Amino acid sequence: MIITSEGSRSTVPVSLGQLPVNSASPGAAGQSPSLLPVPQLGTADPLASLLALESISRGIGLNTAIKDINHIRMQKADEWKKQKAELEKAMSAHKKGGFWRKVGKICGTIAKVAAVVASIAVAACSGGAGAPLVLAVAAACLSTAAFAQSEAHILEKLGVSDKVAGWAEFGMSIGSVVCTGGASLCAGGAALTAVQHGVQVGGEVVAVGGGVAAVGQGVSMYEQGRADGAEVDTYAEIAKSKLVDSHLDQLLLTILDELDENEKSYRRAVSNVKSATETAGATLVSAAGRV
Amino acid sequence: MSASPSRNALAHGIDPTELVYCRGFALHADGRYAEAAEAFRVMLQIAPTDERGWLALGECHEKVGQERVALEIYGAGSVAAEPAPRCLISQFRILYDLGRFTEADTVLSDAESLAADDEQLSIIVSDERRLRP
Repeated sequence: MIITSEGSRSTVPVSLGQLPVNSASPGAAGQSPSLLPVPQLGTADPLASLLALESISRGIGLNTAIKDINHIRMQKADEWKKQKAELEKAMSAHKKGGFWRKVGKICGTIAKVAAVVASIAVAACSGGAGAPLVLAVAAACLSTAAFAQSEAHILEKLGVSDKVAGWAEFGMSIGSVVCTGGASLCAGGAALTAVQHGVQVGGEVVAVGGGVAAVGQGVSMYEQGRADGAEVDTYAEIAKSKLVDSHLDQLLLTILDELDENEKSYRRAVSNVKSATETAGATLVSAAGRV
Repeated sequence: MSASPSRNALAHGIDPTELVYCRGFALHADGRYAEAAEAFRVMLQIAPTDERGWLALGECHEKVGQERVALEIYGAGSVAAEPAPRCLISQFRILYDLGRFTEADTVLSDAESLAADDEQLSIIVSDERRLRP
């Protein structure tokens, strides 16, 4: 079942090759059509996919599940090896200024936050992360903060205004990340739980949900611009030795459980509203009969 | 205690990235953008090089009127998930709507070159050029 751009539902199956963009969403910005691809779980309809998943999974015993999760963990270890290789590649690009310079030019705010994220990873001696992952963590910081507060507030806090379109030119370069700021930031982040939107990088919790202040603090340190060439090497060394292990699996499971719980709660709320509406309808009918 | 549907799905070998994306997509389609963003943030931690996560998270912010945050996210996505033509197109739309035409034009040109081998994307890029000249 798919949802057409007009909002009606169709039962005609559509292959993913035929439908690379999401017709379920009416538009990303104003009247522009959404570019969001549909999930690749066999059907074009996400709810149908989830139902299918739930129904598939009913027959699985706990022992099998545990065995399979262990298998997934082993696969994850391989993935981390790949990420480690990517990090080394990123570090090489780093020295040439390629990747991070580009990031600084395109998305200066996230680049600032990414610098702080990278500094946390170094200071906590918990390992590094591949450059895309650092960006992902930074984006999560910005996203969570923007939802929790407001876009204007968080951007102002990070030194971005409408009048300054070229803020990336504030001398942004990863070489000026200040590692020493990370320890205190990490201490603040460690108190957060995964449910508070924490994310883990290399085994240590990095503040996301409650990390606005930490980000602000880190950015100001970052903006002092104390470049330290040796830091880049330290980053690479720590990343090499510590990146192998991660608790990302556990985090994922916790957050998925949380999402499941949210879904149940949402369904309960919808069911309660429906039931209340039906009761009200029945009362009206009954009252009308008496008149 | 029985395992949750998501855990069971994971144990069944469903790709966690797809599972989380699917969940986020459903929430997005329901208009529950804050919750959808939560799922997409998780997705980005699992698969930072998957363009869809960046695109989806950016859309959630656009939907709640946070275009500049969305612009940042699309920008990061266009680097982290390179090549990411859809992130570039989304960036273009926002830049154009903000009146930053020179930057918008550069970004759309980049998208155009990435879309050269993809018929559908080429059509989208052409449409964008026509709608936002």
